[in-house]
Parts: sequence; structure tokens; C-alpha cells
Amino acid sequence: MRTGRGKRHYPPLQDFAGPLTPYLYVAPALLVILVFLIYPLLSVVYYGSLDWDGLSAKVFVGASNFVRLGADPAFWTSLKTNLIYVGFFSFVPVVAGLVLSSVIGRVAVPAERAFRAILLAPQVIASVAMGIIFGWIFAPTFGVLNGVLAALGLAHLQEPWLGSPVLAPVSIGLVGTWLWVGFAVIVFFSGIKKVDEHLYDAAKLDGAGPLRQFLFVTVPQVRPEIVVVVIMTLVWSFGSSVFGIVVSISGGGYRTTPVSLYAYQLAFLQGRMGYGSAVIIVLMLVILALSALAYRLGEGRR
Amino acid sequence: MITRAAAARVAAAGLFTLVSLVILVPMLLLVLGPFRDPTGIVTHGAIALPESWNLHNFSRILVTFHFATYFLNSIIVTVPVVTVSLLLAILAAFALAWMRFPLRGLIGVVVTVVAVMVSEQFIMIPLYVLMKSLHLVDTFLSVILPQVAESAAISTFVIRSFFVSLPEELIDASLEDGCSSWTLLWRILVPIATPAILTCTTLTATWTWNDFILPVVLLPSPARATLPLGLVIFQGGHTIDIPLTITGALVTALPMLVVFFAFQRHVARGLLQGVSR
Repeated sequence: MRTGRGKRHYPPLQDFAGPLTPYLYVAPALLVILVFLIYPLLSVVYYGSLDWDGLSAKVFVGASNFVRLGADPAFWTSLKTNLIYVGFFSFVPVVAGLVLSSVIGRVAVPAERAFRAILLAPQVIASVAMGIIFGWIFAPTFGVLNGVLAALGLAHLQEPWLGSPVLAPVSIGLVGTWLWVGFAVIVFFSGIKKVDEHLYDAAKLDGAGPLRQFLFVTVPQVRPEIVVVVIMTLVWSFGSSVFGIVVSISGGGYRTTPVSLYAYQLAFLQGRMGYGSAVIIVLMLVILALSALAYRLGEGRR
Repeated sequence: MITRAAAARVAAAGLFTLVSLVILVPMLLLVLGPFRDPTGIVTHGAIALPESWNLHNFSRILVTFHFATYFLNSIIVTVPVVTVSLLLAILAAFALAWMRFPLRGLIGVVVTVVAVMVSEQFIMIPLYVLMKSLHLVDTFLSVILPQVAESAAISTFVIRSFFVSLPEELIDASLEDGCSSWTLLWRILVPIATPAILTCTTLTATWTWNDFILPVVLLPSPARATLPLGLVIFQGGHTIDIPLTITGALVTALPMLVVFFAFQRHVARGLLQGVSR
């Protein structure tokens, strides 16, 4: 990722310290980033090979943390739960956003700025505050959703939305859909506007209906936007927003613990720093693999 | 044809309205919930108009349940993070955009791409160990320093792209006028970069304010909790009073919602920059 391509070099800018000048400009930012981001990132790889409670002497155990991980049902449950979150935080908003924005189509929408603001607003709400609001929505008694169902005469559909291992992860997943669907609509809506009108005309001449226009014109043409949104939401669905939402909505009960929260519990509640780090390493590898897969699929479509 | 185009616009607006409503309902609950009454929720159910239009819940949550302290703590953390990270980012972006030097490519990749991809949950365990060895656990500095690093990374990325997009003539002319690098940066480039700087300010302020992982790991004393952590601490003891809990959530979320709607264009640009974190 090199920028400044084609820009001229400006030796006169290297004034007060000669050739050291650029290093002085970069040094403060580089220093804090190296010490507080890169060094911890490298340390976690080392910690993953330790049996360590954070206090007593470190014991090097090689790959045995990872062997134990393979046979740890709590880890596999958290990974499965997290993959459900990926579905609702990433897949559902992307598909829904694509469909909605193509139905909206290539028109100038009145009050577009206001819509844009509303659709992006969930992005600035603290994850724990989201968890609190949706905790009320999904509450079994005096909850909003069950209240609406009762008002509609659908009381038989009332459920303890956060109180069963089947429903709870899905309910929390819907918070993620709420969080990301507006974002996806905004990105895809502006992407679709940039598609060359002639491509749609040509498709229509070939007798393509709305569905085929969507599949063979819209989707390939907004491919770059799709890849960006998929990877972004993918990373976030393993990240801090999920962590905060789950802690404040369910505390992690009923199979709602994502991998990051499991690693937190291991390291900070059970004092297993080494094992917790091993979980984090696997988490990073999973995110990397899924992002690479999304990227490859996006490339292949062209 | 005109009517058909008009119909398409109305349909599009209708669909946008529908999505907006789905997104607005939880926010409406957030804004109206504090004015509900706990007994009212029992008797009228969750779907009812607010019963008590007063600020009683706000004074209770701020004073009795320490949210005033959490609020102050959030400001103590957010203000230095935003200002210091911005300063570091402006300096670094300037050199990365306009100077050539050995290792520039590597430094650029580390400072922007790699640093931006580091999520907090990846580093929370080593960060705790590091802060403990520096005797900083339970001090505001323990969350401020890593946040400065994260924010400096994203801001360097945004400001550098802005600098690179400026015309070369601007630099040429300034240099001919005998500007030093320092005056060129602060007198000419920074004023022009105001939009990019506003984008960074609003974005890093939002992320820092809303952050939960670093405070929960590094600030064990409730007296030093920031708002998101304070909200979870409060929730642990008082889950029964729904309106009061919602009040806590609103106090936590409102400042950044206000920033968002006041600087909507800048925040939106930042969110849509296509940067994953």
C-alpha cells in the first residue's frame, strides 16, 4: 500500500535535522503504535505457547495449548456461536442491503441526507447501550417484542428471546443486522448509482428481467463495495461490538458467548493468560482465513 | 414518463422510510424509555406513552448511581486521546505524504495498514501484562495510551490520503516563498486539511467514547470506569428498573449521537472510508 505515487520528492522539506527530519516527524506516532499495538500483537503469539496465570513463572508448553483447544467443547461452542453472529452481522445485512438498494434503484431520493443520517446512526451508539435497549426489546416479561405480539393478538408467538440456547444467539444476531443493514444500504445505493446505465439497457435488450439484471449486472458491478462491506462486517462480527453487546444483553449465557468473550473469561476471570492467548491466535487465524475467502470469492466473480 | 419517474422516486423514498423506521424504533425506545415509569411498564406494558415527563431518572442515574463520575471519566479519557492522536497523525502523515526516506514504505504500512487492523481483543491480554509491568493498571493512562495509538493509526491513514490528493504546485509555491517544513505544515497544509481533520476528530472521539474492552480490562476500580463500563457495572445491580437502565444507556449514547448529527457529513465520510478495524 504505497501512496504518494508520482509525487515529487521535496529535499528542501528536510530542513531542521537534514535527512533525519522525516524520521522526527514520524517518530511519535510510530513509537506509540509500536509499543502499544505491534508489541502486544507479537506478544500474544508468544503467550499462546505458555502455561501462565500472569503472576507466577512462565512455563513454556509449546503447542499443547492448541491441542487442548481442539478438545475444549466451550471453545467450539463459542466458535459456533460466533459463526451465527457472522451470519447475522455480515451475511444478512449484505444480502438485505443489496436487495433493498437495487429495489430502490438508480433514482434521486428526496431527503437523501436525512435518510443517510438515520441509516448510519446505529454506528455511533456504544455497543453496551445497544445491548441494554435490545435487552428490553427481547425481555420475556414487559419486553417490547412480546408486548407487540400480544397487542397484535399473536400472544402464542411470545418467546423468552434471550432465554434459550436456540433463540438467544439468533436474537443477538438480529442486533447486528439492525446495526449493519443501514450501512450496507448506503454503501450499495451509492455503488449502484455509479453503474453505467447502458449495461442495464443492454441486459433489457437481451430480455433480462429484474432478477437477472440484479444477478448479472448489479452484483458484478458493485463487487468492490460488496467485498469491502463483507470484510468490514466480518471483522466486526468477531470484534469489540459483539463483545459489548453480548456482555450487556445476556452476560454470555445460553450459548451467546463469542470467541473474544471466551478468551476474556479465560484470561481475566480464570487467570489462564496462556490458554486465553491461544484462543486469540486461533481467532485471528479464523478472521484472516474468512477475510481471504471473501476476497477470493469477490475476485473470482469478475 | 414523468409520472413514472415520479412514481419510482416515491417508491424509493417509501422503501428508505421503511428501513429508517426499523432503525429508528430502538432509538425511539432509547429516547422515550427514561420517561417511562417502572410501575407503568407493569400496568401498561412496554408499548405505551411515557408516564412521567420529568428528569427524575436523569438526576438519579447521574448523582445516586455515579454516572456523573463515569461521564467525567469518559471526558478525561476521550479529550487527550483525540487531541494527542491528531497531533501525532498530522506530523506522521506530513512526512509519509511528502518526503522520501529509507524505510518509508515499511513505516507507512506499519503505521497505517497493520495498526488499523489490530483489534482490541487481539491485544487485550498482552496489553494488561504490559500495563501491569508499567504500574499503570487502574490509571486513565492505561486506556489513553493504546487509544492514542489506535486513533493515530486511523487518522494518519485519513490525513495522509488527503495530503497526497493536494496539488504539487501548492508545495512548490510555498517552498519558493521560503517556508520551512514546519510553517508549511501548520500554516498552509493543516488549515486546508480541516475537513479530513474533522473526520478524524469525530471518528476517533466516537470510538474512544464507546470503547468497552480496554476499560473493562484495564480499569478495575468502579471509581475510574468510563460510561460504557459504568453502564455494565450499574446493570449488574439494577436490572429490574427498566426506565432507569435505559436512562443510563441514553446518557452513554447521547453525546456521540449529538456529535454525529452535528457533524453528520464528516462522520459519514469517516465511516464510509472503507477502513476496517
